[in-house]
Amino acid sequence: MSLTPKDIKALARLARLGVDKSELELFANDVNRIVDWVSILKAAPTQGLAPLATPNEEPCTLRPDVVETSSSERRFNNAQRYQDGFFLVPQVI
Amino acid sequence: MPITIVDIHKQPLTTLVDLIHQQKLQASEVTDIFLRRIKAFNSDNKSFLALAEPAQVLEKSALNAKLPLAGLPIAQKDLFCTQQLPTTCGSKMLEGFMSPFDADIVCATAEAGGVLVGKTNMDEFAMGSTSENLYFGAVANPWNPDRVAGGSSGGSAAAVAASMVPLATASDTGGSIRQPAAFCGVTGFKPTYGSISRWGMVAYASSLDQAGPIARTAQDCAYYLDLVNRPDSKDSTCAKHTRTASYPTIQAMNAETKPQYFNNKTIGFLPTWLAHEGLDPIIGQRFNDTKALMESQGAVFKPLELPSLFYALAAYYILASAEASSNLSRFDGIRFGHQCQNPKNLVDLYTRSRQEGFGSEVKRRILTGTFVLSEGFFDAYYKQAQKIRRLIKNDFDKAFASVDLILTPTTPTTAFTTGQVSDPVEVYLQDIFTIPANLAGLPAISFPVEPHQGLPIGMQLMGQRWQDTQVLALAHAYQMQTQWHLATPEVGEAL
Repeated sequence: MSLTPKDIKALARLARLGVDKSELELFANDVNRIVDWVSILKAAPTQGLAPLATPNEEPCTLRPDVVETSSSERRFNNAQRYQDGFFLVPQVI
Repeated sequence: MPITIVDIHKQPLTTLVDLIHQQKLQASEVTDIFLRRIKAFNSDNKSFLALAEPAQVLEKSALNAKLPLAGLPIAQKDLFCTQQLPTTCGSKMLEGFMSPFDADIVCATAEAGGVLVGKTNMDEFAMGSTSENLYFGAVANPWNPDRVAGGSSGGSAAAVAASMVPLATASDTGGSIRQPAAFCGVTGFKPTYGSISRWGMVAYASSLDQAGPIARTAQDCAYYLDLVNRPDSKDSTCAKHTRTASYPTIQAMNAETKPQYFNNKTIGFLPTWLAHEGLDPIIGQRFNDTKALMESQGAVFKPLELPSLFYALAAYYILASAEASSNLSRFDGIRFGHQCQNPKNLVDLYTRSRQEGFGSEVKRRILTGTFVLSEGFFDAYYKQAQKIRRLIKNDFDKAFASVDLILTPTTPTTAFTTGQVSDPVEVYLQDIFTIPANLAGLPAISFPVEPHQGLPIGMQLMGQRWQDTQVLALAHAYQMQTQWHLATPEVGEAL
């Protein structure tokens, strides 16, 4: 298969990633090159094998859902816009 | 009684710790030597992206002299969150970001008496093999400034190689500790996946990312590992069980009158990798030299067939890109990170902030990851890559039933010229020998062997999961027989 600049535009929209028109063809070439290369995987003998998501198959460590430390000042210090304990975003409704 | 040691900056961490604890050196005077080297060389070398205030470093150094890390300056890779210094991950996206908390490895280092001296340069979001950071500047290889330092932990490896710190932290998703260690002639250790906590390490590919040290010796790596490797309830993938200390094994080896650690060790090797078309013949020759030395000390080598490794690199790039596209979705321009000017609406804020904040390799991986996770392609790519991961793990399990460790080259070539490689797949092929350990979660170390034409070469030892001590001990046994790990580039010999 071959991805077109239009496909890259659709992927970028899914990823909420702006891509200039001039870059669409470049990324299409790069991603196609990668996708062609990884296509060797289709021939791998994986019938009957369960997918492995992580090499550490021990159960995940869980901890009590308790707030240990919280500093609202530090929490908001890296935000461009905030007010009254809320992050500000452009109006959505 | 204080003594003068020539070339203090070239001494391994554990030697410096011993000398400070024995009060033969003062912690602050040793630290001052490293600070002066950083000041003299960082503007050319670009190992560091941020530096702590020298007066504060010296003050803490003196206070911590009796602690395990003896007040020595330790560099943190710039993807470990620190409250004291910015954490940028080498990206415009996080320029100026001040973390509200410290990563667990940063806390553990401080508790052990290490002093944060600076944050090291890296490929953006740890995606790359060169540390040619486009936004903050490329790291120069201390052995030859026209060559790359490797990546993604290029700043950490270069800082240790140039004797600007005795140890730096790093992270390894597909070889990012071992490959730059090999290119810079230092020792880099990737512990078993799930050992050192990932809390506060900016995530690239969560099922592959593992923190670890870069230092001059395997002994230094073992000493540091024991101090920072601990269960952590804040990282759900950090193993709960109590760790076995590695350093006592190293100390016992040092006490032996006749080193015999290679005796009764069976080491696997991969003839198909040694016949790989991309392998520089000199690296193959160095592999044979390393094998011969280990055999002369009593090790038995056994050829291995791991057919699934043919698929490892491609499977890795699917899994890593998929996880990256998910992990990096947190950079939305709202709570932290770069925000675009005058957004028209919320979607415009997201898309333009991410467009302006991320570099091209990060965008390429986000797009690739989004593709392999998308409807219609998920089973063919992502799920198939996960099945191959199972195949690879099974192959390693079988191999380790008959060998203790596996020896391979760390990289197919020596450090390449800056700007030489631009094709993404060609860059990815650099990681061919390091990636399998990440897919299977194995501990692996890169240690320096004889250089070639002034450029360092690294060999890699991989072990079974949680056999970190055995990996470190065998690399230490090699370093007890050789001096390559003590070679340093001619950076600031006059200082």
